[in-house]
Amino acid sequence: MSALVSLLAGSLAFMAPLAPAAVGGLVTEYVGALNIALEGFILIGAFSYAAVGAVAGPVVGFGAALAITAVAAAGADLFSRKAKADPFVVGLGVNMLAPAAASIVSQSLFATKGVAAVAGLQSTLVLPGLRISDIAAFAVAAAIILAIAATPFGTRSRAAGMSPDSLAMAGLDYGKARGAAHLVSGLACGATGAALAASVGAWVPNMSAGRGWIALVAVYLGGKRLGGTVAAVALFSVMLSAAASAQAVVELPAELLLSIPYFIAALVVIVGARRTARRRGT
Amino acid sequence: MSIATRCRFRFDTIHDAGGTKTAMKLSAALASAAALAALAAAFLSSEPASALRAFFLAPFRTRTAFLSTLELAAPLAVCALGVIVTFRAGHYSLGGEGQAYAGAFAAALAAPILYESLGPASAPLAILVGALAGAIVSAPSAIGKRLAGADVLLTSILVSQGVIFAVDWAIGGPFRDQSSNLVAMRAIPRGALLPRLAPPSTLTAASIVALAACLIAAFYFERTRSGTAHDLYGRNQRFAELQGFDVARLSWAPIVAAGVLHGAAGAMMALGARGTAIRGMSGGIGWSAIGAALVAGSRPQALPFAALLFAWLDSGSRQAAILSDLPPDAGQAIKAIVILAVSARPAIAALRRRR
Amino acid sequence: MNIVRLASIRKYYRSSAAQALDGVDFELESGEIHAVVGENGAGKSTLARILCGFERPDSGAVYVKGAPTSFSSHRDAERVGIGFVPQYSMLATGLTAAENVAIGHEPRCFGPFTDRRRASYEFSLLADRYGFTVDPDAIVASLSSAERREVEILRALARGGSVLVLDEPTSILGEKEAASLFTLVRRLRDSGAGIVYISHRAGEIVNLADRVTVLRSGVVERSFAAADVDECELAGLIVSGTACVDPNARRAGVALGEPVLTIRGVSLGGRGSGSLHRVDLTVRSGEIVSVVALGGNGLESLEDIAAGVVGPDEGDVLVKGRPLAKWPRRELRSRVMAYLPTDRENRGLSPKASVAMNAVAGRLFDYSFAEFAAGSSPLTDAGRMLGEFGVANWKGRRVDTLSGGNRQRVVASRELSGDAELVVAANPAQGLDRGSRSRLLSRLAAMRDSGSAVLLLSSDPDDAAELADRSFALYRGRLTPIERTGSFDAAFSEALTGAKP
Repeated sequence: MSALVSLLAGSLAFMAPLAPAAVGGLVTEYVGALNIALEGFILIGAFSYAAVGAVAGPVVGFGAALAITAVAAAGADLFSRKAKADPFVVGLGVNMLAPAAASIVSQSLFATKGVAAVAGLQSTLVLPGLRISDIAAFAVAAAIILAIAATPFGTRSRAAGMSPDSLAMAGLDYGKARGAAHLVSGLACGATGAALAASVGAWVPNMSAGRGWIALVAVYLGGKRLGGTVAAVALFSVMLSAAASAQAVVELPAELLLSIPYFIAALVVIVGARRTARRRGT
Repeated sequence: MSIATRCRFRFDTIHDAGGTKTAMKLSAALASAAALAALAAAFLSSEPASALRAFFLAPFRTRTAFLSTLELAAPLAVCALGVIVTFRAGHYSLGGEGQAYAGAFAAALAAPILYESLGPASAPLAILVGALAGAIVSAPSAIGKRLAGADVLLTSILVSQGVIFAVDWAIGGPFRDQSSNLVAMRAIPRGALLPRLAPPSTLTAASIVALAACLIAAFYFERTRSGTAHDLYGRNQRFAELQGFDVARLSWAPIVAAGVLHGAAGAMMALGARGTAIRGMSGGIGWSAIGAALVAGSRPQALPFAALLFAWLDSGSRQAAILSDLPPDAGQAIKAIVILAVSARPAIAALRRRR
Repeated sequence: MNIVRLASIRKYYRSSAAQALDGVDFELESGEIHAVVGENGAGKSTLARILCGFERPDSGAVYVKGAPTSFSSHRDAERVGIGFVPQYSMLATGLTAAENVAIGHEPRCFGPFTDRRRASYEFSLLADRYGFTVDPDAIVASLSSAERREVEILRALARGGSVLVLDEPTSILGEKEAASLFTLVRRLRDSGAGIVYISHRAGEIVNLADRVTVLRSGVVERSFAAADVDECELAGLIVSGTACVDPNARRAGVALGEPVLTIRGVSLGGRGSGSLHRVDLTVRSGEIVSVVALGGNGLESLEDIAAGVVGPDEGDVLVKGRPLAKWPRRELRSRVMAYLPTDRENRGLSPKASVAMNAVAGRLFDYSFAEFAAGSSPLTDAGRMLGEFGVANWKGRRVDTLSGGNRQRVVASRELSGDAELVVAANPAQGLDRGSRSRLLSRLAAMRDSGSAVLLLSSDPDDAAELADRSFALYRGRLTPIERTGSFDAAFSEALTGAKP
């Protein structure tokens, strides 16, 4: 029983930073842009939280993480649109630039390019496994879910992805719709990054550890729909939590256990694709 | 071949005239890289003069330094070739990192064993073992694509991430050389390594192999029927299918071929300058390779130049970090910005048009 | 009084290096239907796009009710009551009909949230007013093409409706639906709206329009009252100096040969009204068999079956007596079957590859390794094939830099330059101007005369009427033979729309 409770609590702790990024990935998927830069934006969010939080405290740090990442994401999209650069390539560039830039700034700010622990930045626990920062991350995810499910922003984003012409027919600018979607997805990744950094109270290089990719996979497995994406996020959270708690039970080294969710996710992608292919009758 | 005949050779092709664009892309990349390196030295270092010198001159000052930079470019070029092979088939595989890492690990594991039974002939075989490991890591994506149409981008990145964790564990755990400070495997016996061509530099035959591979690939894409079918498949799969090309094979073979190339590149690193498998040794080579492939405009003939540029950024920033206080990640950041700058090149043309 | 006036409008497209409009003047009165006619590429669509605010002219002025105006987007044009019905559907197919009409003007409730019920209600009101019956909450993807057209028209009328611009509105409609569209257009005209009607169907214009403006190469050639011309004169004005395929000039004395394509009892399910039910069809060498259908009646399914893109659920498809699926694909396509697909961009072309490569792709593996490596003979072949179909200036270019008509010529160069025994041509003339169309149809006739079996799948009865030896109508997945006796048109329209005589 207590094992189940701790599994669930652990799942929530994994879900809090994953949910915003996945929802953010869904928003850009709506406008028809494959967002492979989630990973990089999460790092930007995490580093912004640590860097600004070190000066101004965790609350301002959290806000700064949202704002800085949102601006970065919107800027990357603006660059891709104005410069007619392939969004895929820009995403790759962001993923390479984010950790390198964080490391460079970290060196002058924290005088280390490694782990930088900042006193007072670890968010307090409200429940076992659940911190205030996690609740804030959930709140960001929920706000975005509300926005895409029930406001014109959601309808317009989806229309932009299905047919940019349908937006033009309404006198709306496809570029603006795409920019807004990227802004929101940056906000989401900022929340993810801040929640990650707040859970340990430090900046750790490469602390996103593939969560951006897991979020992207959740969007795909969820059929690029809201309900499906949330369900896939829950599934992955339970898997990651199970892998983490298995560490205590099974005599397997941590790193090997960490690799298992990725293999399972790959398998799920393949099986899922097989089923969709069957349904289409090929 | 004289320049004139080369030009005629190029314009007589049935492909589109994108070759001149590639040359422009390469020069834009070189120019932006140099400018960024100068900026980085000026603003990120407290001793700009020595940082500049280290960045721009150290990799070229001595013959040894230059040849070692060449050696650094070899695995990168082979890796980037793998990227080109998949991207030109329309498969966006992002698994190069894990495949190269697995290749390095497998080669470091196999080389001492092969050396005991085969002696000096073992190095090429160890590279084959690395290539095989890379192929195995790429197999789930290839099988998933062939049998289920699963998105290669997702499966390749997931498997690669998993493999990176697993190899991290293997190098740091059961196969770790406890006598070393590094988290690394036992050093490969000197005789099992790729022979060094010009000691004391680390230059090995790998760079010649890499150059040959690029040229063969260029011929394959430009002048063979299968390469053309491969390319047409990548640009429009439905069209290729309706023309009667072997699309079943093209749906998986390029992915495995890239796995082979990535694995071989990892093995080259282990059997070349490094001399063993070190934890984290792939060091973003999979991502750099994608960048190099993009800078080369997905043309294998331009790849040696792109790989050299990236190798220079790597070794230049490393030298600058040693000889001055430039942050060691400056090279990585410059690479990222170069990729962005190159991707934006059409924009300059668009701006010019609007005027 | 004129509602909208365009004065010496110029527009140059850099991407296709074309002066689309070169000093065009255009006036629209309230309460008139003003037809704009001309060949493909004459500038009709550009005129419409500028009038509706989608694009800005390089120079010239737009006057609305006499006042100079500049539209920065379609929203500005909507604001003065200009609505646009595009030629091809521009709806977000995953959204509902009501959402599509409301987009950009969504009713709100509780602050930022969309009031879905009010959007649906407003849609129903609007639909009632114009006599449409589309379900506001239906997802657009599930609507028929006629219903989608209704949604497009409602969207154009939702914001005012003092000016309505229709771009080739009947190209995807059946006769019944077209007739009800004409009624609606007349009603709008009578209530004082100005209608711009873009078309190249002379018959429609003579019946519908009050005034006609003829565009040619970006300039207004003539503008006159529609009552001054008859259909024949108008057709001559739309297209100058092109010979049509003479429908009476059937070849003499080519004997019918063996069956080349045999479709026997073929059914294909899971495609809604486009499923096929026990279709039997034989095409012999030396004949052109046409199958005509309106959208959503199974023409796409029949195309897929005949080209071997999908296999049938039931029944057999034989090419020269051998099951289609058993043919090695490469041998079939390089020696036996030519295929002109409806979906040129995705099936017929590799738009990001070079023009030459697209031309020789079908015979790629006919070259030896050495021949291909040397490179000159594929290039010569490409030049010969492209030249035969009038594609010039192709060296080093990619297909996506060509105009639509030239793209179809590239497809034709590859598919029709050999002597294929079987030609599957799906909507081969769609989007072509009269001249290119007649050249392409003549080529098909010539191939028939030299012994090819031609299956012509078309949604335009005119193609069949001009070319076919035998014709069938496809309605809801079932084939009906059309006898060439009595009134061909009447028989066709009955079979195509399912009307029982």
